[in-house]
Amino acid sequence: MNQNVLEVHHLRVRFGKKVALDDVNIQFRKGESVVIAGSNGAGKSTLLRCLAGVIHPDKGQVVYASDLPREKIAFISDGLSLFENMTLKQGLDFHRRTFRIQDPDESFFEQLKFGKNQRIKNLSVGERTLYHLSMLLAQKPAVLLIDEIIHAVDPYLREKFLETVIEAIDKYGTTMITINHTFSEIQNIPERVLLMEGGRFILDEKSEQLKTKIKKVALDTEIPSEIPYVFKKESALGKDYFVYPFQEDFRRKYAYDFQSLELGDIVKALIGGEYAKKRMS
Amino acid sequence: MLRKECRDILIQSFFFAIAMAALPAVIFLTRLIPHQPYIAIFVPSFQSGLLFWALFMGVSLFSSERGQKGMEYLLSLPYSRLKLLGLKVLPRFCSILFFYLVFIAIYFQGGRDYVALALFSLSFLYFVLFFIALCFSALSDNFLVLSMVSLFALVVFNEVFFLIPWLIMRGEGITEYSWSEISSTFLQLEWTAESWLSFPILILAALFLLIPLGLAMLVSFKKFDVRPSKIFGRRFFKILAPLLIVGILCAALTVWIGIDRGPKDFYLTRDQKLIETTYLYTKIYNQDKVAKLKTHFFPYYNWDDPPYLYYFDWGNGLIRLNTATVATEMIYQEPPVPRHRYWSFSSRFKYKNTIAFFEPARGPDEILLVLIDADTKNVTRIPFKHDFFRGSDAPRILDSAVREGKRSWLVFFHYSTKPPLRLWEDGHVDNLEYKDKILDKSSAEYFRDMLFLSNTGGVTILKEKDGAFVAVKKIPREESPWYWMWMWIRFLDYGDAAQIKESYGKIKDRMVRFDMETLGVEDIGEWKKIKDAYRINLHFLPPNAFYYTEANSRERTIKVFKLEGSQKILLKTFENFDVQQQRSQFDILEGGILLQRGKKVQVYRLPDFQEIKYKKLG
Repeated sequence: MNQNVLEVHHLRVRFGKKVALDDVNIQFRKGESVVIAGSNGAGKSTLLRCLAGVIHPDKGQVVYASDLPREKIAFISDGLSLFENMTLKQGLDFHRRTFRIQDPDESFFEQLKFGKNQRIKNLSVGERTLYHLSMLLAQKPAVLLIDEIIHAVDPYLREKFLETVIEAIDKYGTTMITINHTFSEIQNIPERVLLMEGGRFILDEKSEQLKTKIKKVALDTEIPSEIPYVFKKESALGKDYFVYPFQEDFRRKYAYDFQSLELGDIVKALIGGEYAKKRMS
Repeated sequence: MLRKECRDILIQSFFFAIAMAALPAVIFLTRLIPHQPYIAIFVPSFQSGLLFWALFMGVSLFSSERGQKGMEYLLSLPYSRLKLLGLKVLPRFCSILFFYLVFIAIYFQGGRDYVALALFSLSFLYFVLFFIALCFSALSDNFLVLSMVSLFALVVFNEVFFLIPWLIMRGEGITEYSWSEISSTFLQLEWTAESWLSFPILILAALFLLIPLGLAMLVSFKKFDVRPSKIFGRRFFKILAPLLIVGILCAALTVWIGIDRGPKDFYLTRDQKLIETTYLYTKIYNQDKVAKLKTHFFPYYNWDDPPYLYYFDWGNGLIRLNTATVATEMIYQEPPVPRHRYWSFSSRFKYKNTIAFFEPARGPDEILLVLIDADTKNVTRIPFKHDFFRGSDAPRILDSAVREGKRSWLVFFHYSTKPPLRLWEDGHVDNLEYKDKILDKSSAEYFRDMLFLSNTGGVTILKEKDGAFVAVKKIPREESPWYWMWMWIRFLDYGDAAQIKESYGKIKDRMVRFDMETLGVEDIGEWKKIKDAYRINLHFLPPNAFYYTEANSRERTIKVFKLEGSQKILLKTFENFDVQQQRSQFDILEGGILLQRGKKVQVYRLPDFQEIKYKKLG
């Protein structure tokens, strides 16, 4: 597998007649942090669940690295699924036993000021997110799969959460695969951005490359046909074109102000482009 | 995971146990069901509770996780699906087994008298329901839907289970019972190897029907995930359908083979014809030839009067088989059963050439005495009317005599406190009161003009005087011999037995002789118990011959003694006979000794023990 911790081959998952994943092929390398973006129903969560073993694909397979035991795969679903009738202590003990955690890293858990005897179901969504994450980090995961959950945490804890995740990734060489729509806080984390649509990957780029490949240009007129764009945003003030793939020649040829974008805006533009395509079709 | 599951199941089991103890207690204390001891309420409640528990343990396989929104977490645990299933099923099965063992303990500690469902039926339903509920547990997120589906599946299973043997037996012309009659019989009766189909065959057939369910669950569960349960259900049923067809075919084949090659019963007629019977055929072995006919009779409800063999074809009539010509004829056709009576004819009583038994009549207090002349086959019905005939108990004829120039029959209601009645051939009924009231429900026999009443208090011997029965002797229960009368029922011929001089039986581990003239009980030696309680080692051959057999499993021998007065005379020791071996039979009949060791059957003539050889036997 050559440094790949996870490989996905011809994955196909259906929900009745709806195809959620359609012949998906992808590899994830050891230690990389990946963000998967896409419109609602694109298949992101289904893919993550396949990687976590929560969904069994109808066709294809997920291949784990031979040195990757199941105990080292950590998964938080967007539903924050846990045995919520347990107390925090019971939940933690259960998790430790089940995942055979010999030497748990409880540093993050200790920062949380929860009463260990309260039931999980009595936690707020934010608290539950942090509790769940702390359990997963205690197992020193090799792969961390995080569905869209960060938005539920308040800004202070969110920052703390992200710091801890970054620290853990560095410390354990964890491969982090996350689904996120709100990129403002995490744009420095992902090394790789994947964009899904209709159960397939339509974009797989390194973050830095993506930043150079997509630019925004604001015009009053139509953009020349020579310049490709993925999304056009119209407003009373004019038209914003999101050019992709961008070439430096465009600057020389046209005296337009091609602006660089933050990762969040890039992803938003790509998703917006997909919605526009759907409308057109 | 196992620890969590065990803890959860332990807590649930604890609450179930509390409920099982408390609910009958509340019913008992509030007298909702009056005049019943606690155990009489507890045992049927516990049986119902067990079925509920089997259903609950099965369908609740994932209900805890579903209730806690923990399914995704559960499925992300580092276990394969099959291991996960195993971890969840194991504690449940232990709980199911535990409560079953508790029930078995209660059953054998006095609970068997109060059961609503026979032990076999309960055991069968209990484990099958648990298994079905388990197999369906992943089909829906809704607990109630799962319960309904599982119960419906149990009903379907039950019907298919009985449909298969019924179709085969109907196809072979063996039974006239309706399908529903057979399946309801299953719920009411203790099922033994001597029932209409052998126990192992039924279990095997049931397994063939259940295995597809289990396999479908196992195979589809390998891909069980958090997608809507109908996706799992589609996969489950897609796997189940072909497996079930194969399962049904295998079950049908098993039942057919089971019936064809299944248990054989043997009977030896007075004129030493050996009768072999299965559910598909009857073979009559003469010493030099064998005849086969497509009919079945149950050896324990027949009698022979050479060359005829009589047997009741239950639900049909009385059949007479001529063992010489191998011709059968129905000499009595059973009438339609009136709604107020469930029995259609009672046990027969033969006096000289007349066979007598009862038939229900139209009126609730009416009864018909059916008399069949064995020579002419003429059937006479005499109606009788009496309050005692109300209800569903069939009376039994104890004696028949000619008094004052008229024929009369003495009848008794078994396990009742009703005194006997005398029925006259002109339709008149005499009430025969007890001089001293008999309060306990009793069974009765009548010999030498004496009525022997057996009940929990012991045995009371009564004689008729001026139209009433007067006690002449009372034997307390602890001094009453066992087996001393009811064994005659099997060797019916009351006309001969009426003149009996003595009888034998047991008191604890001692053999005793009962003198019919002095009514005294005499100790004549040790009674060696045979482990299998259904085997009686005392044999009576009318009019006055008694044999006693002593089996020794360790030495694999059986000794035959003749009982004469207080003497026990050893006649012969049969080697290589293990009484506990499956399908072993040792009977002393009027035609001789019938001995079956597995598939080998031998017959010995009495009194010289000369072996009778049958061509083509075995």
